[in-house]
Amino acid sequence: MDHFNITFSGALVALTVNYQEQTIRPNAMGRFADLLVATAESGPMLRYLDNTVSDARRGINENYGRELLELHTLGIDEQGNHIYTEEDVAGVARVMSGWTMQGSASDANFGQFLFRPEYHSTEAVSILGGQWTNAGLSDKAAGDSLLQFLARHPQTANHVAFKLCRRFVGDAPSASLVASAAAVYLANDTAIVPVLRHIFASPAFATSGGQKVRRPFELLSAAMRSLGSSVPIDPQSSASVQLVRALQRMGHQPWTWETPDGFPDDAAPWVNSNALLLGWEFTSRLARDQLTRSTDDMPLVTDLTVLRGNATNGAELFDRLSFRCNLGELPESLRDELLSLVGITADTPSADIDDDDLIELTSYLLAHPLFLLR
Amino acid sequence: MMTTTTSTRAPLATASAPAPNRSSRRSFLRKSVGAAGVASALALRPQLAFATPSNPATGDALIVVFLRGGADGLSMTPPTSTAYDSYAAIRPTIAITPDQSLPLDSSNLNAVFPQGLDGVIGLHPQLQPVYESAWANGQMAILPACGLPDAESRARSHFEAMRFWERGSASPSVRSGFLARLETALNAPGPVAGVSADGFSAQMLRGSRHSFSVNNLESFGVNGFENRMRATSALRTMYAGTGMVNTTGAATLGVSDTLGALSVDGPVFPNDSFGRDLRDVSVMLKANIGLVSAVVNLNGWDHHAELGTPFDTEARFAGLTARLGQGLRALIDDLGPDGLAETTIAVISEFGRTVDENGNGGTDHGRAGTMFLIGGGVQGGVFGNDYPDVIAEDPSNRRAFQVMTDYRQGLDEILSTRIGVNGIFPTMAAGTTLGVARP
Repeated sequence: MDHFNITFSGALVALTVNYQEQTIRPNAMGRFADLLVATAESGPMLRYLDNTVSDARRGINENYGRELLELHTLGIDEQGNHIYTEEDVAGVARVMSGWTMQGSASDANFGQFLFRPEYHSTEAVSILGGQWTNAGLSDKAAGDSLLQFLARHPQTANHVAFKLCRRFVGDAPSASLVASAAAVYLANDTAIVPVLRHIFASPAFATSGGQKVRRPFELLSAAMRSLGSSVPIDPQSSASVQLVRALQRMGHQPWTWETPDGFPDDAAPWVNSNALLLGWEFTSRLARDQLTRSTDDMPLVTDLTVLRGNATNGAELFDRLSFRCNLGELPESLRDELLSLVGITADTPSADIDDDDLIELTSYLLAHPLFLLR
Repeated sequence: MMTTTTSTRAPLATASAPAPNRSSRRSFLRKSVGAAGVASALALRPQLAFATPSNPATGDALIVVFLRGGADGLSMTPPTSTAYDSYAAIRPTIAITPDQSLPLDSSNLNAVFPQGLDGVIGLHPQLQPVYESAWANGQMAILPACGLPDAESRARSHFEAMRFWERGSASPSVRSGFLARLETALNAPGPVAGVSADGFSAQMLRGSRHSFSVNNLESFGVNGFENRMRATSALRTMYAGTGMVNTTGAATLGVSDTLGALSVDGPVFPNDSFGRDLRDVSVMLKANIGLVSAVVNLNGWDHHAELGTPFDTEARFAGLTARLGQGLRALIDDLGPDGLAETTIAVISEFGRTVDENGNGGTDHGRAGTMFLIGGGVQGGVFGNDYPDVIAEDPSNRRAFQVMTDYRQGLDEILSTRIGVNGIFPTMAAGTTLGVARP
C-alpha cells in the first residue's frame, strides 16, 4: 500500500476502496511485475499522479513518469542518487501518455482504465542509455513493454528488496541481505513470496525482534489483540469511527499520506513526544473501554476474562498480562513497582484484585516501551 | 544573540507629503512609532531571554504561524500601484482598492525596499493591529509572490504543498521537518525545543526529539489514564532504558512536569483557539525552557467562494484576517520588546490562490502567496526578487500567481543571521540575499 500510495481525496474517495481491494490486494503476493501493471492501469493512480491529463498534443505531464521511476521501480536513495536522468523521466512520461481512466463520474465505468490514443505520444524513446527503446508505437504496447522492462531491472530488484527488508527486518538492513533478496527477486521473475521467504529465513530476521517501531496502525492492532477487543466489522459503527479518528489523531489514517512516497517506514518520524503521549492515551482509553459508549451498537470492549486468565495472584496476573502484551519476561522490580501503584502485591489473591486494578495494570503494560516495538 | 534595533533605526520623519486619503493612517503610524521608540531602548539590555545556560548558542526563537488552506496573498497584500488595474479587472467583486489597504511604502522610515518594492502593495486593513506595531517599528518584513519555485514543485494540493513547505523541500529524500532539522543543527537540549501548539503533530517538527504538541497548556500531560500521577510514575519506571523510544519517553515525561508547572494566568490573548495557542507559545517562550521553535496553525483559508469585502469582519477572509491580526498583536505585546528582540514570527501558507476570482466570489488553488516575518531581528520592509506590473495568469501555471521569490530564502536568512544555522533547506537554489534579517 505504501509503495504504490495514493491519497483518499476528491474524486478518488469512491475509488480508493476498489484500489485497495482490486488493485493491491490480489497482486500483493503475486509477481511485482503484475502489481506494477495493475497500478499502472488503475484509474485512481493515474488520476492521483496526473497521468489522466497528460495529453501529448497539449503537453506531457511528467508526474506519473517521474514517480514510476523514482518511487515505483528504479528508486532513489536517501542521498538522492538514482540511475535515471531527467531525459529518462520525460521519455517514460511520453511512453505512458494516453494511460488514463474513464473520467465521467456518472459513467458506470468511472475510474476504469482507458487508453486514449489521441493523448499518446508516438515519439521514439530511449531509456537508460538505450537499455530500452521503442520506435514510437501508437497503442499501449510500448507502455506494456516498458513496465515489464522496469519491473525486471536489477535496480528495481534492489529497490523492492530494500523496502521489504526494511519493512520486516530493520530500518537499516544489511547490504548483503538486500543483495541476496534482490537476487531471489530476479531469479523468480519478480515473484514476491520467494523474496519474503528468503527474508523470513534469514538470520537477520530471526534476531529482528524489537528492531522496528510500531506505526500507529500496528499499535492499534496490537493493543486490540492484547486486550481481546472485539473487532468492529461495520465501518459505520461508532467503534470503527472512533478507531479511524484515533488513527487520524496519531497521523496514520489509511490513504491520507498525501505524497506518492507513502507513509514513512522508519522510526524517526513516528517517535516523538507527541506520538508517545497520543499512543499512551489511545491504548489506555482502549483498555478502559473509553473510546465508545457501552450503549453503542458494537462498543469496543476489553475482554477481562481473557486478560485475567487463570492467574491466582498478583505475580501470575502480571506474567499473564506481560505475555498477552508480548513483552517477554520483565524484571521483578518493575513488576513489584507497577503492582504497588495499583495497590496490590505479588501475593495478592486473584479474588482481591478487582477489574479496575486489572485494567489499570494493563494500561501501564500497553504503554511499556517494548509494546511500541515489534 | 543580541539585537540592537535602534542602531539601524532612522529618526522618524515624513519623507513626502502623504496622499490625502492616507493622512489619518500616517499620523497614527507616527504616534505608534514614537511609542515604540521608547520601548526599544529597553531592548538594549544585554540578556538572552530565551537561551538556557546549557545552550548559550541559542539565537532567536522561531514561531511559524501556518495559515492552512491556502491564504489569498493578493488579498493579504493587494497591489496598489501599476498592477492595481489589471488586478481589479480580474477580481471584479473582491479586489481591495488602494484606499482600503494600509500603505506599505517609504513614508515609514523604519522600512526598507531594497528590491524597489516601495508602494507596490498594501496591507489588508484587518491587519491594522500588526501594522501599527510591528510594521511601524520596522520589525515586519513582507514578502509578496512567495512560494516554492516551479523547478522544485508546482504542487497545488493543500497537503502535498503543506508537506513540501513543512519539510522545506519537495524532494522525497528530505523527510524531516525543517524545524526538526533546526533543532538538530542547534543540538538543542530542550527540555522543550519545539512545540506544535494545536495538539497535532506538525510536519515541520517531524523527526524532532525534543518537540511535542500541546493542545492546551492548562491540561497538558499524561492523559487517558485512571490516575495521572500513578500513570506518570509507572511510565517513568518503564522508560528508564536506552534507545530512541525510551529516551523520547523519558524526555516526554520530563516535559510534562515542566509544562504542567507553567501558569497561563496573566497574558491577555483573543479568546479563540488561535489566541490560546499563541498564549501557550508565549508562556513557554518566556519560561526559559529552551524553546527553539513553535508551530501555530490558523486554519480555514480555503476560500473557494464568498471571500467577501475587507471591512466586513463577518466575511470569510476579513474575519480570519482580523483574528490573525489581533492574535499576532497580542503575541507581540505579550512578548514585549525584550521578547520580540529574540523572536521571529514567520507567517506562511501552503500556497496563494488564483489571480482571478471564480464564479462564486472566491478563488481557487494557486501558487504564490504572501509571507510575513515579524521580530526584533527582522528588518522591516517589502522584499522580493520582483513584483509584476500586471497581475495575470502565470504562463506556466494555469490561473496562478507567479512565484517570484522562494519562500525559504527569507527563512534561511533569519536562520542564518539570527540563529547561526545554515543549510536547513538542502534543495533550495542559492539566491540573492533579500536582506530581511538584521545582523
